[in-house]
Amino acid sequence: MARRQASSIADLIETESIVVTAPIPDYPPMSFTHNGKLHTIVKADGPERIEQEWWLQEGEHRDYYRVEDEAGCRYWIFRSGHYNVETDQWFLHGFFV
Amino acid sequence: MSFSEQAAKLGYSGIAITDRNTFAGIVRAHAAAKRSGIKLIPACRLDLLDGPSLLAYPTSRRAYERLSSLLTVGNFRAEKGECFLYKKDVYEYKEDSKFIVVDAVDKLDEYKDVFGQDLYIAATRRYDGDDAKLLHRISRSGIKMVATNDVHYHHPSRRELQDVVTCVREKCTIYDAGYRLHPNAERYLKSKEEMTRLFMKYPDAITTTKEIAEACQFSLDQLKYVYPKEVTPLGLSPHQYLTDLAWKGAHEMYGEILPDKIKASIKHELSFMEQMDYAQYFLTVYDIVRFARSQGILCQGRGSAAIQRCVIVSVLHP
Repeated sequence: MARRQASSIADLIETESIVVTAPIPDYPPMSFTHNGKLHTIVKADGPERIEQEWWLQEGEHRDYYRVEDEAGCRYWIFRSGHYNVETDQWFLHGFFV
Repeated sequence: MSFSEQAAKLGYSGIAITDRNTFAGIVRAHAAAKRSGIKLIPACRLDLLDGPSLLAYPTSRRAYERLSSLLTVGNFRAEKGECFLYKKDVYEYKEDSKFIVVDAVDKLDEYKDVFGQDLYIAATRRYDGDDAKLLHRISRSGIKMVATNDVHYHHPSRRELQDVVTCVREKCTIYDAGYRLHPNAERYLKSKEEMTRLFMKYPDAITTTKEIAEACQFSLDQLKYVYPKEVTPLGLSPHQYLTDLAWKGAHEMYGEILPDKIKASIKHELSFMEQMDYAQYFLTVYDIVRFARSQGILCQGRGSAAIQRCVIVSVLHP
């Protein structure tokens, strides 16, 4: 998954749930809140859409975005599930270091 | 077939499907498109040994003939199933065709010079994280952008089949396939609305598809099968010659008086062949069989039983 970033990313051991404001259907988010702190996104790349490996498991795809906030910090976040499914959820997957 | 049906369902008026270095599948595609009530634009993808691949769209019958000749050049250079083509071959046969360069953005000056206004560049949203950057670079290439979206199947549910076919091609299992598989199911035929949304920043990429489609006025309906002319003895039409051979062979096989049943069946078959204009084909078979016998090569003809037998008997007893 996401081969290009692998070398520059510090993955979180567990993804952390975040709250996101994002235009539908799949444009990069405008802001996200992590641990109570609001980050306004000023730059973004994505989505990189990754489907499940269907021969191993069923499930929703993920849309990954590389985003930069006002402080210049870069984050790797994703939405699990398509925007119009009820179970769609956003997560922080890692930081760019 | 799925493509045409889906394209018709999405309200498209035409579709172009490109196979690699061959027109082999377009007759079936043409028939399927006809059933779905849309237009098939004959086209093909040219994979070259010394340059970026091109999608080629003949705008006229002559252009289609040229592209077919081009493919023949490549086929003659290679073993069966392969086609070796170089840029200069395409330059020689390019007249009246439109070309879309794919999977390349840089170093396209040579193509630009050679193809001029007939060159376009493919724009695709792969959903691989870098779409925005790539489209931006493509838009600055100085070549007219056209949205192709690298469609591989008609519906996202076909991703699994696509993956399996990839494994077959790569001779690997799905567990070992890794990055040889695409990470998502986005290469399906999308609706007009979705395409307009995906290329919102580059509306010309959508309108250009229309420009190419309108320029491509060649349809397979303009072709019909033309059998090569057989050489026949002076003054005889192929059918007369075949008729002579058949009766001659029949007499050699059955003697002076032919059984009624044989007579009837030869007459019946001859009249059918005349109607279908098959004589030249049978004369070709006759030549092949005659040659094979003369060289001691075992061979067997195929086709209409009675005539075949009689004509071949003519070979046996010339």
